[in-house]
Amino acid sequence: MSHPAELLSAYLDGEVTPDERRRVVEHLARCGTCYVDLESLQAARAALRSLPILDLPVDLMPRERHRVVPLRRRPAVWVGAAAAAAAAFVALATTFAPAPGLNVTVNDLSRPASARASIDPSFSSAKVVLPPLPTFPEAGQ
Amino acid sequence: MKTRLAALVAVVLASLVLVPAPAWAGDTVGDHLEIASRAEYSGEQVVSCQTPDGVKNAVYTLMQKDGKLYVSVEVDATTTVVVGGGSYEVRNADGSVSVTSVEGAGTVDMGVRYDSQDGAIEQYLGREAVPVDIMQGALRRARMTFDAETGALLRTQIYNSNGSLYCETRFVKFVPGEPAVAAGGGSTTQPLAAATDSDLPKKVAGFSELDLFTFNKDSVMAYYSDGLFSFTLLHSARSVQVAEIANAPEVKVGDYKYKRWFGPGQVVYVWDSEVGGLALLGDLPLDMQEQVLGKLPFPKKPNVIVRIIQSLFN
Repeated sequence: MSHPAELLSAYLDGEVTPDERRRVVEHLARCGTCYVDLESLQAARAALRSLPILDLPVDLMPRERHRVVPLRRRPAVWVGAAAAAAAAFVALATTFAPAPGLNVTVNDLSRPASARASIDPSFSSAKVVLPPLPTFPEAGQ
Repeated sequence: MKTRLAALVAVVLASLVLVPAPAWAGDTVGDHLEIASRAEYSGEQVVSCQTPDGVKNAVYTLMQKDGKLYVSVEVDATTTVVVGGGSYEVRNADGSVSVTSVEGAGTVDMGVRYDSQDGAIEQYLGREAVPVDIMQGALRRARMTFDAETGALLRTQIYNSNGSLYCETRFVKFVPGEPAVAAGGGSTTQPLAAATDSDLPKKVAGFSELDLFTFNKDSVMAYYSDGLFSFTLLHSARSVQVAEIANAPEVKVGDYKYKRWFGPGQVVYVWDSEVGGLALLGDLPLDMQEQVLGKLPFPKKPNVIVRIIQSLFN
């Protein structure tokens, strides 16, 4: 099965059919990339939901008489400073931001490890890792 | 007189030839394990481990036939995992099988690091059984209990260096005799390619590197064993992220912090070092975990600027 990227969002919303849900769950159990994608999607949604709802300040509301703004103004000093700071931030972020990591699941590690351990005389079931189903939230939650 | 003597010699010789040695008659634990590997049986096993994160349990179905041990577990209603003889198979309800297979280069003799002492015959699951203590110097590191009739390994207890029990693997249902092993359907096999070179150490705290595999094209995976315990070390030039513990708090081991995951019988450590990302998976008792980590590249401590910048991206 290819990566069901288009189904992850619908899965979180509980808007998948039972068959699609089964496909997504089975795929997530084996695919670390999609599992991480699902977590990122859920984290982004949670972050959006946690944003406060603010009242619009009175002075930003439409007025009957609009102030006339000159067509040309000299940019304030702080605009230049802010631009310089932003450029510095981008440079720092580019330099120190982590490189793309190697994303795996415990199952990705345990498959070859358990296979190799099963050759040894001391092999036992304690050397096998259960492929853990990811602890992602139930659909619709 | 000569006739009687000849008859007596014949009887003695016949008794030596005709009376089979008991299945457990091994001199070393290696002999016991060799005999155990030839036993045929089926049953259910429980693995239970006392970890710093609480008790971790699992139940497995076991079958052994033709020298191959099949450990299976029903992941859900449609998936079964079967491990044995160098392969890890995921069997799906539609009959398709996905296989990860390896070819091991060798094994380590447990006798190099451990001694063994047979105990008196005891009863286990209503059967005669032989307990064998695996000693690391004066420390009892493990106790293996073998079935006296078939030689099968019925129970394994693993101890920490302070004498506390770390893990126990034991049959709760044991049926001697040839099991019916279900054949898998069409399979997709992913053999792990052997790697020839790595920067990983060949010896780590009494463990020897036995095999080296290529993992995900740009990383390597090394398999270490001391004959009793084993671990696999993943090394990547990139930072390694394990999904299940991506957001887990770090735990301090020795003077350094790692991300850690405990399962029934296995532990995973993940960290970034000066030589790249590392992930360890193994069945080591608690004190051996610290010993092994102490001989591997340590986690690096990013400077303040890097931590601030990285926190914005994590």
